[in-house]
Amino acid sequence: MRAAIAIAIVCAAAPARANPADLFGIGARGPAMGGAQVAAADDATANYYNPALMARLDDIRIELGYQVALPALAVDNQQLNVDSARGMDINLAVPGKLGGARLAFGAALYLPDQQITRLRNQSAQQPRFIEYDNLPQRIMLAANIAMSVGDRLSLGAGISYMSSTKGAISLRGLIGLPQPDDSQLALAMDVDLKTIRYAVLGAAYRLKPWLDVGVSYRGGFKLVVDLAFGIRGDVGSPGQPPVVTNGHLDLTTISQDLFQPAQYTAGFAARLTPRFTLAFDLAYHRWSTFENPSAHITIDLDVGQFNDLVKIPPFSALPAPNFHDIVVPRLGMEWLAKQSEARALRVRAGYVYQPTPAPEQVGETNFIDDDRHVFSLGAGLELRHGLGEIVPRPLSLDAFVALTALEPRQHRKLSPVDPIGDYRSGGHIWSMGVLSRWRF
Amino acid sequence: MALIASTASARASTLDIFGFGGRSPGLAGTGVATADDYDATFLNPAGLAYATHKRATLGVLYGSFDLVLAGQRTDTQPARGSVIGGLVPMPLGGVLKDRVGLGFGFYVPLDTLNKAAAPFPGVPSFALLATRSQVIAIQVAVGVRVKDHLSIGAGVIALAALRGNIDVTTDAAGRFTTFSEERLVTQFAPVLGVRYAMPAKQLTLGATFRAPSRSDFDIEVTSDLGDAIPLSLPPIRIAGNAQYDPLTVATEVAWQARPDLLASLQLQYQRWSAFPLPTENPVSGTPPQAPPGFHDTVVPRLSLEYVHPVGPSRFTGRLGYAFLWSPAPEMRGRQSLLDNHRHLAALGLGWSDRRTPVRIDVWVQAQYLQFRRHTKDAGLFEPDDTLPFMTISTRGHVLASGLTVGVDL
Repeated sequence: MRAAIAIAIVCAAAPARANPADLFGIGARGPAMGGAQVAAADDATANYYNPALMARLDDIRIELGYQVALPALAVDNQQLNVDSARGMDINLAVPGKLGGARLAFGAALYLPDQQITRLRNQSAQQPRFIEYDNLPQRIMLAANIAMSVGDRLSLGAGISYMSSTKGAISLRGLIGLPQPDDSQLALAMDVDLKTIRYAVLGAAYRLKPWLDVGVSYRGGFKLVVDLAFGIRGDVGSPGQPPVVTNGHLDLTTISQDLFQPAQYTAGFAARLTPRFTLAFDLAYHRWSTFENPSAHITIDLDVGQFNDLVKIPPFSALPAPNFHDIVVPRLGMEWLAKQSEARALRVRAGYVYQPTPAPEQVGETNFIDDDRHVFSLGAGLELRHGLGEIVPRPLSLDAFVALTALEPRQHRKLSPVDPIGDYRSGGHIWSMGVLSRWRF
Repeated sequence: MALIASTASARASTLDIFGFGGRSPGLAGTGVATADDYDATFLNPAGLAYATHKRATLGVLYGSFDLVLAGQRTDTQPARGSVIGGLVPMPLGGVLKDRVGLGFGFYVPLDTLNKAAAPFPGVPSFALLATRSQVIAIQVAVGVRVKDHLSIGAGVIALAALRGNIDVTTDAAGRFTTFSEERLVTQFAPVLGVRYAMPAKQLTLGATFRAPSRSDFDIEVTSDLGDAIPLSLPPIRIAGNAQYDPLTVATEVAWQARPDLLASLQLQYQRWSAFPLPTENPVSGTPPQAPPGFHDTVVPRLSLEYVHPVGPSRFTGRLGYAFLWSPAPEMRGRQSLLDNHRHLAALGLGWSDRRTPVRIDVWVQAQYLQFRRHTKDAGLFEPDDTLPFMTISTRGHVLASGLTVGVDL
């Protein structure tokens, strides 16, 4: 019945955190400007950064892009082989008017190359970079609406869907003994992916003709896996009298699957000259609600004459991760370097300092995270006459490259017999992407 | 006495049971030749080419299932969900001016995004109705008018499949723990459509092809728990199919009998013979399961739509009927995947007004399950097998309604 335990943890704890856009941004202009976009987004990526800004758009926006992140993260100078993240950006914004108000709806999608979502679960003791292990390996989908209130204020809201897992898996039949391969089992299941919704809210205000301010809220969520598992049946060989009749194993597991901290952001975008824009965001991420994602498992087992040989380890509480809230400053700038009637070239740069929410890993857990510095550069070429007759509106081609540098960090264990021991973490991540922005 | 599953295998989708949008369900699922809103992403993407306004639509759907198996009502969850739709006529120039439309349509269940439910093989259950309404649907499509009276369209319906592996062991502290990797991968089903109008004869023809749409799961489980438990199991495979819509080809003719009256006739072919087993055997030693034995079906649908202007307002009345031929044979052997022929009657109302950009549609559907009896053939079982039942009957009905509100931008 050992595998029974495994089945019950089919969707169990998976240390995936937040979402890929939080790490690398979406689009190309935003990541090039350090993600300081809560007041500065001027395209369909506003779906992610601040949906209220969609109400300021004049034409339909469709954006297609691709981005890559290549991590080189190490513990004691040994690479942990954190997977690269590759995926496609698709953003849509459709503005219009309702009565006198400007109204818009839109959606943004980041779709990883290999899968919609990957959940990799490991023991709490297994060292891994908690924010990079699974985080970039999941879909990000946001759908929003926005409207203007007067000439200066716009409001936006949206909803995103995720799912928790709840249900039961049952096996019944014969468990092979002494040959496990002689097992004859039938399967029944009733597992739901329960709907989890979280909200995205935003507001933007034009304080001066050259100055915009914005605020946004992105809801946090915890996805829980709650599964019951049971095997009912005999133990023995096919065609022989059973060694155990009507044995059973009942197991439940509850764990935290995915976690996203609630995020509050405020910022401004200032067009200081006709050619130069400065943007600054300050974001508050509520990581203190993060819980140890490992599974809480309870077992009830009856294998008749073998009961005396059962050595189920006693339940011991999982250590709390003790993460704390963080404040993240983001700075971005954009400069109109060249322009003519047909073309415009813009260059961009950004910087982010993201303190880690994780404490030094002195105990049983090894949820590694380090303070990070992100330096970014980018450029955008706007073809002001589009592609001629069929697509006459402006078309933009944008690109960015960013370096995320993790400050080296020492983790000193309190226990001299800790199975992992002291270690030092660090590394860097290169991310880059391109985006084509189409107006209709 | 038979074991009766309180829930049954999850199959197909809400869209396949009730239709999609605010108009088509009130027309018994017709619309292949006439849909030109976001619902065309499901009915016929070619209709998107006729989009004239940017439109956002929100709606709700509720369906209740009163299914009776062996005289007992099953505990079937109602379908409750929201409908989200968007329509965008693409303002292109040149030869593509006013000829391209984009659309997207989502159905999002209120409680459950996806449901994987299946009783043990052989336990009787409503194979196609019990939980098939509990699945999210995501559709995106584009339509292009290639000639004045001819348009084509293409889109995709997206579902997810689960793949992975799990290894269970104990950690250094002696706790049970896992090393696992599960991946949700996208399963896309293409949707293709064509529409041709014959204005001289007041006829419009439409045809749609939808590839099979399915959501599978496949998890391999291994374990190494040392001395914690004195038994071992072989690798166990949790595999099966959570949702399945068959390959579908629908053809429809719509006749504008009068300026205010539209009649539609649709024939829909569905390749149910490819219907998969709800679950596969978890270990190799289990005797093979009998195939479901489903057959292909052809479903006729009829509808009438009447438009009545009152000043600046436009009221539309709709009604329709469909005979939903069951693909399931009498369950005489080891499988007990039950289904009934259904008669579907639908009513719908629409309202729009020239003075406002808002349009409202409501619909109701009643589906009556024809009484059916299944009798097992003992000759199809081994002598020492226990028959799940000798004779069992099924009947019931399904009631559903929906409301959508669209806003032109």
